[in-house]
Amino acid sequence: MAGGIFESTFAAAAPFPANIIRPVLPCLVMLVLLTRSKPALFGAGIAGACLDLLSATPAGFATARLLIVMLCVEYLAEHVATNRSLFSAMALAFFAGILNWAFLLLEATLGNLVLSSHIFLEPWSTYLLIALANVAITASLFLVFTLFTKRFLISIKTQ
Amino acid sequence: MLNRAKTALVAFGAVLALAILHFTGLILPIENGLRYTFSPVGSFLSSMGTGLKSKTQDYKSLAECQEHSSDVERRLGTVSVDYVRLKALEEENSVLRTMLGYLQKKDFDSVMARVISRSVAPEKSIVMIDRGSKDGLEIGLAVIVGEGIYVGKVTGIQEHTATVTLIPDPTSRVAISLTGQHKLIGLLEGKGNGTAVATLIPQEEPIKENDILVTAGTDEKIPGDLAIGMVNRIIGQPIDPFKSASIEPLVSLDFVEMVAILKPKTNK
Repeated sequence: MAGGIFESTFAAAAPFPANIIRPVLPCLVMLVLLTRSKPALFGAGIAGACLDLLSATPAGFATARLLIVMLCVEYLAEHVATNRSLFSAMALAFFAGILNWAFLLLEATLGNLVLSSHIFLEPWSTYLLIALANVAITASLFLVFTLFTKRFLISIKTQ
Repeated sequence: MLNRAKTALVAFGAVLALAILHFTGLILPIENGLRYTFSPVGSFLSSMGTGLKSKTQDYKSLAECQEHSSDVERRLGTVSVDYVRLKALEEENSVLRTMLGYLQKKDFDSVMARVISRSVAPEKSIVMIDRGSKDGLEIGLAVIVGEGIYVGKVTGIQEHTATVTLIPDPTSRVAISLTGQHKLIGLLEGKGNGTAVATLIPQEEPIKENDILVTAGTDEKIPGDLAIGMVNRIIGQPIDPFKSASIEPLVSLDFVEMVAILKPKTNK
């Protein structure tokens, strides 16, 4: 909820580089990595709802968009980036940012063509920078989490 | 696999239900209540972002500062002469009104509001404020800052919040006049990225650089004589039937945090 409110209010008003700090996706990716998929999906719904409620311009049904992005991230985390390492966390965060942008682009195109509603996008370079910022935030969160949890340690069976 | 399919199905069902409830308006009271609950936090974070932007944008190069300084000095010279003339006219007006026993009637009340959020796309200039229909706001009301500088109008209303379209937004249109004249001379259109252009100005209108444009008062809910901006540059050829003018807003709209909405007084 805090992430959703932060993104819809502070990020829109702040100058570069503060405006590329979007904490929602990195936090949700970390939740997925902590194998807490249901809280991640729940969090995606809440953050998306905050974005939809408080954005000055249409946020493109952020609730649904974030849920779909997190379902995709969860699938990748279980079938592709399975080792739950720092690098897989960074890759998932980057992918989440790019996927979010792709869905926004799709919504903007469909919205303009089919629904006659307008979803206004930021420049493509901003979305790329946001994806890179997601990587940095996720890496930082991952390192902080490793100090307090052993969930990311690989357990080796000894005979 | 089955578990994930079930989760995805539940998520899809929840989203579909939410969409149906939203578009039918059944959860509108909940949405309005949530906006009202979050608006204090939103306005605080928005003002933090605006404050950060104002601090970082102060750092300009020496060449930019010198150019800005000489531009301001040039404008100051022009404006000073007009100011002296205006003060003299004001004093004369005040004396005449007193002599005639003229009562100034104020036809508008104002409602103060804080900015909660802004549009992220650079070509849009839209903000959300923490006042809505419960505070008597309607679509089309003028929004001002300071001592009567027009910055935009209300274009969307919810119960506790409203959307304001600012002057540079491409969908913004307002009828304009020159200071001291009470006739419509053109239309101010937003062009995005913080700029606006006054269009459809008849060629014979004596508009020049550094003139202050005001609202014409032809819109039902927007009073006249609200200062809008200063003419930056005249665009067009003498043979064209109409000319245009590039307008610089009198306040920096990126840093607006508090606004006032002008409501027509209701007769009791």
